[in-house]
Amino acid sequence: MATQAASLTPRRAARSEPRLPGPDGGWWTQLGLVRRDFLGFLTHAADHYGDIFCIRPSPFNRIVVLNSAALAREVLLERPEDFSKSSQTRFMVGKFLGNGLVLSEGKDHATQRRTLQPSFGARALGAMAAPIHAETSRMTATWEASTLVDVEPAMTALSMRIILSFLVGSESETAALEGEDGRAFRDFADAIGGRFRSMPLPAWMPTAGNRREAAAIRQVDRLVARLLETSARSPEGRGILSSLASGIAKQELSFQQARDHIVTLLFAGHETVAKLMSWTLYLLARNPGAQDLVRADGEGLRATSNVVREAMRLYPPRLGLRPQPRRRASAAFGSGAVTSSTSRRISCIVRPGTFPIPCDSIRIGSIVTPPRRIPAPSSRLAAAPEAASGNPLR
Amino acid sequence: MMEAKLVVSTIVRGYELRLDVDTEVKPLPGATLAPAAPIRLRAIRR
Repeated sequence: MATQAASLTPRRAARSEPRLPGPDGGWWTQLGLVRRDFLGFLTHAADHYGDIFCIRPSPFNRIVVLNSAALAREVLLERPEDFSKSSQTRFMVGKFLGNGLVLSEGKDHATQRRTLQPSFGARALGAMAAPIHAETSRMTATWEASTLVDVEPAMTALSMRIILSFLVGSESETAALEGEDGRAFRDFADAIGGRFRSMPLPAWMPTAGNRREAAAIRQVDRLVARLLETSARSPEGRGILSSLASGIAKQELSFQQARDHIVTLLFAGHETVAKLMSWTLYLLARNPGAQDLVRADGEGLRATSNVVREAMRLYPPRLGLRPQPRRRASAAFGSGAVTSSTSRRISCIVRPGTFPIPCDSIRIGSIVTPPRRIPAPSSRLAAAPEAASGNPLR
Repeated sequence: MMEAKLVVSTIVRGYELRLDVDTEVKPLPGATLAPAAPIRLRAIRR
């Protein structure tokens, strides 16, 4: 079907393809539903139309939603040559993150991964365990015997300190980065978050939002330049910042590339982790039995790992990705049954609770829920997320 | 993942967590899936 469609003009090909199922109502109605309750709208659509359906939340956009682990895997992991990161993602975060790991593709992406790989090796990450524990203990040391904690800001501040210590590699320098500098990073993360909560306009328009974003970017760029200069002057420096400064000195990478790596790591390693930790603590607070499991956990933190994975399944910090087919003929997915039709955009949206329980969770499940055979992802979709698992973490 | 594991483990080993008011907090999609309302937990030292 895909080959046949490729030989037609785009308009005729679109007409010849099967119409995807999807919610009724014009784009205006759907836009209203999306703005009112995006997750509710998606859940309702997935329950009614299955693994692949089409939504139309704007006059120019038909978005194909893939709501299954198997299809998301096919598009995101198994066919990188057929799908690229979308222009929409670039529009939303490109001016903040540059061409770092999140947005680069192909050979450029592979080269960047090789450059950063040593900083994420087992030894480098193992060395982070003590600073993470120390930063967390420092935070809890300020808590009294019974303290009311506003979890999300607390976890955001903590993850910021941890990622800074990962970047600079020393406790004293991390402490020095707090205050004004820490605020620059927070403003930067807020500016990115704010873009997703509003309807962003092109960068050339002199709106208040665009001016705020430009100021946040300038502030962080100045800070990153200063950090790289300081690192370049201290040869005994540790941390990823030091490796990048040394890469610039050896002319292995440009200042812009180093800057893009740093801001990508800051955002990706701070915002999503903070949300994951907040949701995990929320779920644990609702389930004292699971707290006991975490408290009694052994050195490998197996039960804790399962609890975090389950939290990630129920509340995925990053809800969806929007890959874009490179060519119409390559857009066939789901065993070629459907092509991207009139849309060039595909959304792999992970509806909370959609993904199957990770294998390891069955072990924790055997303690808190009866073990059972996990059905294939597509058949799980027939059930509402609440009914998909008897896991008491919910 | 490692960071979340270590942070959660350190907190739960030192404190018992309870929801201050037992209400469901809904997720709000944006750049990340954020809580729609503040999550306020009572941390009680063990």
